[in-house]
Amino acid sequence: MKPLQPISAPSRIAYGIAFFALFVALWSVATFGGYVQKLFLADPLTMVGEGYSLLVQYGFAFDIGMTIWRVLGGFVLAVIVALPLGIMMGAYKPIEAFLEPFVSFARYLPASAFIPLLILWAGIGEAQKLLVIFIGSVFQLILMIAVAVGSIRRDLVDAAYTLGATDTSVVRRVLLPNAAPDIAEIFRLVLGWAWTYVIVAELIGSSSGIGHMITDSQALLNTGQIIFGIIVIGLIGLVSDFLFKAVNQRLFPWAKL
Amino acid sequence: MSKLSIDNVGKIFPAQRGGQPTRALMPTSLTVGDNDFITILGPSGCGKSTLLRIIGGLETASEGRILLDGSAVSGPGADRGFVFQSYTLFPWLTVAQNIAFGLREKGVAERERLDIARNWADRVGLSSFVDHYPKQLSGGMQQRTAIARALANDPKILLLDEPFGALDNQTRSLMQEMLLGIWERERKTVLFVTHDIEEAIFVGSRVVVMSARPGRIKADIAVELPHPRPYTIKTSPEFVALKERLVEEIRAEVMASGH
Repeated sequence: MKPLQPISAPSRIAYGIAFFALFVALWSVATFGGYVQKLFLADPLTMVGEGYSLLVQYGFAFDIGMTIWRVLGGFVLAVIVALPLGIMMGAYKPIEAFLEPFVSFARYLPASAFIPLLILWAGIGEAQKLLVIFIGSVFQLILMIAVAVGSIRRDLVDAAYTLGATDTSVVRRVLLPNAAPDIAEIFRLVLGWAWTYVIVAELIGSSSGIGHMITDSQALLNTGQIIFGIIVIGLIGLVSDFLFKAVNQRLFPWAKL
Repeated sequence: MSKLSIDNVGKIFPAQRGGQPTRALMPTSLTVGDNDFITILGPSGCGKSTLLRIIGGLETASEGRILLDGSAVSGPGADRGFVFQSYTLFPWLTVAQNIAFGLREKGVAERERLDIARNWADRVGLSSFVDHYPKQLSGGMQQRTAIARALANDPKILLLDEPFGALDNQTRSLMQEMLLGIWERERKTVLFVTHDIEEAIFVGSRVVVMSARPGRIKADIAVELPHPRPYTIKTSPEFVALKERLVEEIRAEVMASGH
């Protein structure tokens, strides 16, 4: 192996799958080999069986749908608020000076710690779930978007001005397109974090969703179902990552040149 | 007729963290005639780029004023095209879109914009690269696009800040010929900053030599070489004599600045 030497696409995929196989193999050895008690960790086959019964008998597909809708709903709300604020902060220094200290502070407030308060304010309905995800993502989004917009080469801005650009068109035609691929990447990252918040939100005071199923399974000591739930989250994350990357490559072909 | 008049323009950079303010440019005056091609030659750090950036409106002068066609310059604008030493094409736009950037700012309709952009791409020899992104181009091609982008705006004056400084010698000399060819055809007013003596003589009709920091104009020499100038002119006796004279001028300045 040489540092940074690229590898071919087929071997990249093969390596990627190989680790998954290794992971399942170790898990199988630990469970089928009797090294770990069934009570603590279900074996892969039990997990698949539990997953099948969850989907077929217990309507788990509905829970998955609920969770996805909550994540997307809360995340989209956060984006609607964060995108204009982040762009304004990145482009205009007085706005940055005004908002940055507070947003930096708010970013460290743990979204899960708000759950008791949010239940008090918004009840245990959907609004509360969306708010947890909103609080968890909006401040991160604002700060990261502001940095992406603000990090532009000064000479590109100078060039735009010498070509007759106005202040607004420097923002619209230079700062924004320059930051767009980074912003798309930020969306991908923060959406991943939103998944952690949604499960926490569903663990407390919820009657549907993947997190709710996991709490129920805990009461029944059904580790197979818990693991299946976790793996479903992982798979959804994998698919959404893949979609994001594909869309980004289509939208910003110049960024990967 | 004077196109651009630089009237006692000087620049002092404010003190940084308790240090002394630095004077980059002594009050400097220079008159640029219509269709002149003036090269500003000086050792690095002599304030020649600062002067050009002030004319371009990218820096403010600490004193003096600049008149373009009789009206004072404040801030950057489309009437002064600027080409930078660094590659400043917008990476998210194709060559044609880059060239048309200023036209879109002016509100020119899309079809006309593309026509003008294609025309300029053609004139700088990039007609088969209009749909390429800047990262797919060589350094020389990027600078050609940058020149086309500045000229597509039809500026009153073209300002070039060591545009070929980052290119290899072969490319640089081809670029000089291309720029000279454009100037011979279009008769634009051009101010060209460089530290390369040969380049200053080859493209310029007048070479303005600047002293070491703080910069001031030390000599103003007309280049009496005929047009069109083939690259072979660089070995002619007149060229060599002029080069020797300028080498002396610049040497004295480099020594003075303590290098």
